[in-house]
Amino acid sequence: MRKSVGLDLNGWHDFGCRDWRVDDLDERPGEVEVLDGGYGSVVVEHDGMIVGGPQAILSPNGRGAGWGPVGATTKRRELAKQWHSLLTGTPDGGFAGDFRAAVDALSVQADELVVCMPDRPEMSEARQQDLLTALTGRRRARATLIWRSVALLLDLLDGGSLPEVAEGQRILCVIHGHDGLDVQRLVMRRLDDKPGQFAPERAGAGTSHCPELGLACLAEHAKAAVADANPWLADRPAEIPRLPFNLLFEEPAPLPEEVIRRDNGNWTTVIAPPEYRVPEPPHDLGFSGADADLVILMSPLAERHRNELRDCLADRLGGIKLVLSDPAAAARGALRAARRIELGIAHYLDRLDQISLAVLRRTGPVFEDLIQANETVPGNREYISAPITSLVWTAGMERANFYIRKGPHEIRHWVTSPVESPARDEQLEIRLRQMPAQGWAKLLVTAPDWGVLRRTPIHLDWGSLPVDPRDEAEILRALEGPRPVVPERVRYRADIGLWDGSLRYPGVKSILRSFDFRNPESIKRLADALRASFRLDGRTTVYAVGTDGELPESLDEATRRRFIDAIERIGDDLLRNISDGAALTNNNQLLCLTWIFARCPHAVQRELARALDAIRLVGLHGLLAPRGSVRVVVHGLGRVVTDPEILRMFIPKLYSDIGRPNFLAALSSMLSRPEATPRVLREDDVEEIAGRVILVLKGLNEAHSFGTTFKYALMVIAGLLRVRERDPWALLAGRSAVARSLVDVLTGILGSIPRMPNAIPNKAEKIRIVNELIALLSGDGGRPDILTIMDAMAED
Amino acid sequence: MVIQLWHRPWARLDGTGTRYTMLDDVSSPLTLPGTGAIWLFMDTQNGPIAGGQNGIGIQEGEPVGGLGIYSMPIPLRRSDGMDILTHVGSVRLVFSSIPDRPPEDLEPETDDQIIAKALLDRVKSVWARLRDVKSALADPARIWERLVELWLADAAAANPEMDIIVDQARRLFPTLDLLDRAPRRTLRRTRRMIPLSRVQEIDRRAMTWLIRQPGETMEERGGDRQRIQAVAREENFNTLENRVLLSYAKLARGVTRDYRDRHKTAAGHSDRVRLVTGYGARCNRLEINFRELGVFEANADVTPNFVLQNNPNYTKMWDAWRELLKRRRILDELWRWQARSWDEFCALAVIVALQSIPGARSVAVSPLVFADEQKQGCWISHVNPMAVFFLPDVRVTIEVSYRLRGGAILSKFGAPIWLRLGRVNSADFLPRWAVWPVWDAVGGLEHGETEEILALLPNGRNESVKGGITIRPTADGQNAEVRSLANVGCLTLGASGPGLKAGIEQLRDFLIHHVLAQAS
Repeated sequence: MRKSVGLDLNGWHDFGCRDWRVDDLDERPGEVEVLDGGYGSVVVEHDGMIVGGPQAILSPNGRGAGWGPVGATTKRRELAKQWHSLLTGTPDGGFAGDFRAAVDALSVQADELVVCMPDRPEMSEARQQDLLTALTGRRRARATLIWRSVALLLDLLDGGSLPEVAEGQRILCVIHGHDGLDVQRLVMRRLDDKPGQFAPERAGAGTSHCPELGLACLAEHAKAAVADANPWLADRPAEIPRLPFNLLFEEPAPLPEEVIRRDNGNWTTVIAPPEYRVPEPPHDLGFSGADADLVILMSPLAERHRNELRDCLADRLGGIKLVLSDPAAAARGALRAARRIELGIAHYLDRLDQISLAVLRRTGPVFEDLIQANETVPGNREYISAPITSLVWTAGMERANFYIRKGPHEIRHWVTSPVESPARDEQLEIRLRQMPAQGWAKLLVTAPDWGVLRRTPIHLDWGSLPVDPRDEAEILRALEGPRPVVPERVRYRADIGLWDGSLRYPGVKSILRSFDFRNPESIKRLADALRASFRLDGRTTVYAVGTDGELPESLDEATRRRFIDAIERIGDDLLRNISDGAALTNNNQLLCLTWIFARCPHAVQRELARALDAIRLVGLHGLLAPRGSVRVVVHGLGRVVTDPEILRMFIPKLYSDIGRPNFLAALSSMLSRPEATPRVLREDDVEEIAGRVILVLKGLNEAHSFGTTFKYALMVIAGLLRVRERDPWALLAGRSAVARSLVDVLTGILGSIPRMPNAIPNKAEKIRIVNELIALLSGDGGRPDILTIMDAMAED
Repeated sequence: MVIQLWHRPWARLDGTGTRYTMLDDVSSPLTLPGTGAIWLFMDTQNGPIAGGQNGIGIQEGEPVGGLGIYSMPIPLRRSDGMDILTHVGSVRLVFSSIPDRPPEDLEPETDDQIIAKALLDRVKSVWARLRDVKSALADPARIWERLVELWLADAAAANPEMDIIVDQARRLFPTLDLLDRAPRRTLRRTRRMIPLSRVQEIDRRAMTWLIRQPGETMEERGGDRQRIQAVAREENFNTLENRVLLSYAKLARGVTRDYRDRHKTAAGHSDRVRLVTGYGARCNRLEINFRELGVFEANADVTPNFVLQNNPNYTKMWDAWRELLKRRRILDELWRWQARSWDEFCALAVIVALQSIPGARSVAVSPLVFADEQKQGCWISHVNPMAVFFLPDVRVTIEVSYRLRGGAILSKFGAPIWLRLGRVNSADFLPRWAVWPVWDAVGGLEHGETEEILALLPNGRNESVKGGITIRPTADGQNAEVRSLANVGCLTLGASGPGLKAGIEQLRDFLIHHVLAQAS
């Protein structure tokens, strides 16, 4: 047998109940023993000792200046006020400690506690959790919470004082509380698994009525009565008498006088007002017993007062049968609940708050119930939901987003803490467990086949979740489908190995050492070194200068300066030559300046722009003199431009003449490399580019040409998808007509590639890339690094 | 600076010079004259250094002018003595009149042993009275009523107190029985000459022996006795777990006997005594059985082996043994600090006496917290005033303070307990009474103490000290006594049984007729 204690610590008149003897090890429950915790209970402290219960009430602590150092009034706190602050959401840090002290005073040697809590809407899961947390700790008795209304009814039910119990019997519980009458309606239910046993069913939080009848108000009333009877009290400082509490709660009627201590340490007496009576309840109670078969009333007031209250209520409620319980009834009921729990009999049935999780179904996202609305469950057992197994943790994902709806309206957004992402999509299993009235539901996310989550399932911490202000429909709309994949831009880094010759001999460094900008041979050597790339461990491509124009970090300062100097001289020399009208004989200078990517001087970039204009208008330009210079100029432009404004200027120029040689290549480079591109591209640019690429692809398909141009066309499409960085839902086949046309064209190409009479270089890889692109466009997956893969594909 | 050895807590006010000794002036060793407790009065900067150790004394009250009073423990064995470091060297105190702490299962034979046994019984009784507070705390609304019930219950009719041994007797009886009937054993392999037909196993050495024997067949090699060397398994019960079990049984038997002896009167009707007695007998039988099996006793400092830690039955016995050893250590400490336990007991006794005055209403009572471990003989923490009662008949309040930090005048009295009386609606100074619990190994009233106390009272005129009470333990076998002179009462109080009941009643009557009557 467990040593259980039922506790009703409401702060007005506390009770504990036990059916075992202290210091006795008998294995059978005995008589129920009621421990009176005293009325108007307080928690006192001194020198680090916190004490509650009757000892605290009688203690000298906090009783005023006449009591010496222990009398400081901060050392005494009223439990009823602590409850009030908890329910109104303004508990100070001391609540947990004070409540624990009050519980400990009445639960010596117990190993199981059942603690009553007010049946009010304010007693939410968060507050329940606060109570449970306060009572949980090492070497502490296990605590269970119970609604006070349920405990009250259980006392009558299991105490045998409820006549004619019947299925469906409706019972109105009226409990006299801090700020009024707490009213709850319970329905008696037959327990299917325990023949002959009944349990009350609760359908939601109770309500509070008649605030003028609240014990807080009555206490003020009694205080005023005592003050009237002892007018001198106001003038002579003394401790606060307990007489008002005695008037309300003491049995039998209190002594006519109370000895109190004055602030100078002397003694005096206060006298009780003659014939004190509590005020009558109002005529309109605010609730009716019309739909009830029985009314149960519990009040902590002394018998003489509660009898009066009973008579008044019986009068107001009309002919319904009314039972008045004694103030210890709830504590006794809590003990009876403990015994029921021990025997595995439901002590009550509760309706759980509906809890649903947003999940994606074939038709779109919906809220799926983990707990059905109006689900009635036995209070002694943990409810475990049917698992939701349809969710998937996608490969590469570090954290997951969940939307959880509790009750009809409250939706919380839950982002799990990051975990090591899985290598493939993992099936999730989501379960919810909840004990009725024992704090938050526990939501658990595991994955049967994924070690990380199987070992350490993710727990939901309700308290830390923000409530999402949006309503259900809005959230569902936002959730339509997972966010489509955004391709990452192509970025190659600079590597010191290309400078010191360790990756490629001789390396830029040694070239720079003997560099002479007037010597064409020297410039050619530099150009060759700069445009040479290297693949580190066969995957990561590196250049001497990174695509963002950066130099290797470990590059020494001297070389760096020498390099910058060389570039400056080459640039100046080139520009001077052009402005002088001197004919260039080769492209080496320009190669030098464009293979340093974004580091290319802006003056040179402007000159390149002019050259591009000259190409488009079939004009003349100094840069175009050497053989093969058009390719160098256009490709070069694609490499060097990173500045948003210059990008903005070039992109329309490039796509409007997309049919010209090399323009497509430069455009693909501009779309795939600079960081700024997605911000620069406008809606109409995207439309235009996509439209033209479709034409290009159609042409290529007809010509059965799947070479370099084809590759650049695909890169342009992937590059366009980067606009999803700012608009996550852009270019989705489900939403955009252009995207659909792109998918159509690509599907067509996919169909014709296998029918090609001649071999296509990298055929398998191209098919794979086209497939990936289709996936990206239709929004089901795709590789984020597709651009890099395409760029690395050998040119044929 | 001085070091004074005090023989009475009020030594500071003593005009005769007999109640203290200047330690710097005496030659070592110093044989203590009386059978009472001692205090050291010295500067608080260093505190007493006894036996080379600092922090042994417990400072009482408030230091005055840099000088403080330190309670000192009494040694477990009188041969231990106590070396006090003084300014000129070291003085060895010899407690010749205080007996040694006897073992619990001692059957006293000599006079000295009888005194020792009686003193240990008193230590245990005081401990039991303090433990009563712990059980009274289980019903916090009625702590003092309950304490009055527990203390004043008719010893013959009441259920004897709960004790570790009762708990163990109830829980462990079946386990002990089981382990006695089937103790764990180890099988050791040895080689012996075994008849051929009984050989089950031979090892390498036995084979080597065998091939050296003359003969062709096994029978021939077996020789005329038809035995060969072979492996034999020998049962051995002398394992650590059984040694621990034996030690437990021995210790538990002593404790059960002691429990039975202390509750002789209840033996006829109490389940607890019957249970404990039966358990003691079972322990005794186990002890005999185990000794026959060749099991030794375990030392108290053994490290538990796997069996003791993991076998459910042996783990229970191991824990029980540790509990009893701990109890023995607590008793040692309580023996050393019995004077302080006596103080705490007397403070409670004063309140119990007040509570038992008919019509007394408690106005305030300090919260009591019962500590998990004793601290220099004390278990209870409280705040001051410890209790305030109002006596409506005489319209007087009486306030009890224990270990109160009073001012300079009050602290000279060195009284652990102070009473303060107040008349309702009166602006007079509130008169005080000092209460000294005076612990003594032998007990009984001391001749001339009333006069001695009476002579002290004028020193407290400025703080309205009106009277004084000393509470001494009853002498063994004697009933409670009282002697009063003017505003002084010297009383004795027993720690259990009729001595306690009579003592409390006597204290109550003294409070009613002398203390309260004066105030009203």
